[in-house]
Amino acid sequence: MYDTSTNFLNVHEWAYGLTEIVHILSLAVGIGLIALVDLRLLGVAIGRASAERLWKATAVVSLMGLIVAVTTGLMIFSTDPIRYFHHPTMRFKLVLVVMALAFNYTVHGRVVRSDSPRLAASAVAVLSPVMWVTVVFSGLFYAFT
Amino acid sequence: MSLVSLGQSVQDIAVFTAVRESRLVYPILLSTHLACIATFGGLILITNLRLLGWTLTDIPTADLIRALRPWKQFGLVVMLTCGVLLGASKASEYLPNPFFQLKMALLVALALHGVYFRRTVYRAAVVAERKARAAAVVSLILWSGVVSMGRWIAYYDPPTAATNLPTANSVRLPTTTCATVAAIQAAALGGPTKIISSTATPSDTCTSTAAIADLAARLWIALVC
Repeated sequence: MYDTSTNFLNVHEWAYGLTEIVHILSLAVGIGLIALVDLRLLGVAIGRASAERLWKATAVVSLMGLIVAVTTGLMIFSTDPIRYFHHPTMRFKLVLVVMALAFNYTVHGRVVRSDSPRLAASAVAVLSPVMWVTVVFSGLFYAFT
Repeated sequence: MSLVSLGQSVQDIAVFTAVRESRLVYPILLSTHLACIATFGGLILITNLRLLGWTLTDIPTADLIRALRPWKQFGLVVMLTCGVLLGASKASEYLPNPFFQLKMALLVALALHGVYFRRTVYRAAVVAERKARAAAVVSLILWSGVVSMGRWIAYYDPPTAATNLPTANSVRLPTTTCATVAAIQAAALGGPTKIISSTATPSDTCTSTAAIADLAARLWIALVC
């Protein structure tokens, strides 16, 4: 039987807070670089760089940010899994994270690469940050609901 | 006037009281503040990566900075608006909080770095490479510090006893903080093994700068021991 009181984050006084800080910093790296590509998709000129060029230039760092954010997120989840799992706001967030990740690496990636219609590109460029911002909101609202 | 009473008079202003007492406005402001870090943080990051010469080297740095400037300014305005509303609505708690003080100091340092590198980097037609690297390193360190201190604010336990009320230059910190400061002093004399065995003198009153020493000491202890 899993005993949360032995979890590293619950045992060491500063571990939990440090993990939260890494979670926030890494989600800024992951989401922020996706937002940059979205800005370009919406038609903001950034030098002569195309959306595809920006996507490729930021892909590795952005992916690393998302991996660290998901990992630290799961670490925080492990401190009290039953409570998190049964909380409706947290469930909403988890489902949305999976959807946003899937969206990012399928639809978003395709729109960036091809010469997609202007309307489709704009729709994706709006939907993508909306999804990620909702993830951030639901993470915070979890603490208030 | 103490920081607490100064904070009290700030948070008693109607708009800040309304924010504090609203069930929804406070979390919405907090979420927006954080969402700004998440989205506009990427613009700061890509600028710094370009200044370091690690990515998008075919785009002139000045072009990238100019293209992103209005968006960064927009993000900063939203973030600052939310931040001021959040901070002022709980000013009597925040002003004496050493992590809040540190966050404000880092923000001032960020502004100064902007002014210092303005001519050579941020508003330069052709960006000087060495200066650009320096600006990027400073910016990345300061911004990570601001975000980290923002999170630590919530973890500060205010002193509970009313015997020694906080004043502007003397803030009472939890005993553990003072114990850690005493541990650094012990370590400086006796090496890492002393830290664990040293029973720090539980002095109750510490200066607010002790919190910085506390953070450094705990990190140091975690690395060395």
